[in-house]
Amino acid sequence: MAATLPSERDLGLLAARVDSLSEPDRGVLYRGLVDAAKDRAAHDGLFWLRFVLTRDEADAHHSVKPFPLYLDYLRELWGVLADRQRVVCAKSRQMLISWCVAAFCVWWARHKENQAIFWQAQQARDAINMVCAAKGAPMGRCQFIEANLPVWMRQTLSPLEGRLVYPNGSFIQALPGGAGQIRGNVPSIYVGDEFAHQEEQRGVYTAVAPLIQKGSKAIFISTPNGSDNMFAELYHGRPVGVSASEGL
Amino acid sequence: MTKMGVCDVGTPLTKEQLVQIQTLASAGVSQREISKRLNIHKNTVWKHMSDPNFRPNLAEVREATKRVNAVKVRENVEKVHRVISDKLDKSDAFGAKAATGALKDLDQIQAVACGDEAQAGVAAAPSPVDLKVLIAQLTGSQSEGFAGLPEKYQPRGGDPSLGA
Repeated sequence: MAATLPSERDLGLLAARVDSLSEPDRGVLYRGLVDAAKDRAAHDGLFWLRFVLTRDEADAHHSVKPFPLYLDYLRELWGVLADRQRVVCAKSRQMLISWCVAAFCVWWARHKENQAIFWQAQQARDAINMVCAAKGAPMGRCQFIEANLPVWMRQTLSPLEGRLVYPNGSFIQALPGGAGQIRGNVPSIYVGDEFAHQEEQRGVYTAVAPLIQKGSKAIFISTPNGSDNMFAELYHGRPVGVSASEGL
Repeated sequence: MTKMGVCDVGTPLTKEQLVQIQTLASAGVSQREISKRLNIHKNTVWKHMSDPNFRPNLAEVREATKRVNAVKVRENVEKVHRVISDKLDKSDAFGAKAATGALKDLDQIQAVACGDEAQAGVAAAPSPVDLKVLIAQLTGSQSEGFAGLPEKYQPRGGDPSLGA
């Protein structure tokens, strides 16, 4: 079992003494800190998020930024993702919700064995861009997060177009829209990206819902698309225009 | 026993064949595969490879191969070094951070490829700088490479949900 990570104050004191340490002592300290940090990252997602970088194509000057942990709503969302099995999140653009969910999927896959995570978007290309792109293409988001973790935290992954496979047997798979795409699979986590804009929303939800009862997580994120769709029903807990007593 | 196209077990090998066996063996090719490739009986290959005089030669060939490979790797790494250094001169703070990291990775790759164990693993013998960088990453106080960003991007110290 790895040692507990020292407090920030103690780490500060250690940093001041590093120059006076012998080479073997530095090696022992380095390995000890890395083990403790990995151990903590495995069960403390917010700690792990410290090491995550995001890509912002809209910012020409600072295209790579640390994950914005200063945003309270993202930290709250992380807590919801970790605790709840069914999450419905209506968002606007540029809120980093997708980045937060992508980071959550990466954290889940790398720290839990044999997890099947499916990221579904209406277009296969959009799903692939969120997970892992083909060799030579700009990285998918999950792939980008993995590639930019500190060297001591990186793992040997098998990146394929639309699929990121971890050494522990977990994988993140991109799927195009459609109920038939998810029906034959058993996801540990299902992510419906821009779910309100997907076709066959009801069919997808029908395929995923029984798995939620078995312990899987289903995360539906989308910019709103009117009230006449499954996403709006899930968000409001009932069809829009129906009173709470008559709801789902 | 003689097979079609296969040398007799007792047939002495030419100097050229011995060198070929050494080269293949040093590359990790199995005795069965060497026998197949050189059209020599497998017992003959085994006989020569188990000869005590052959083994020191094998070690020499392995070392020579390693040296040649190391030179090739070093040359290639130097080429990539130059490309990244050029980019480093022209890039912004974030590009610089990424490029500096890439240079460090390359140094490590080169050290591993050249069998330079002292330099190969940061974890095996980290420099004071490596250790300070790690501590800075753990405390969230690493600002190098993110100097142009607003302070809000730096994780807040003392926040119980962010660190001990």
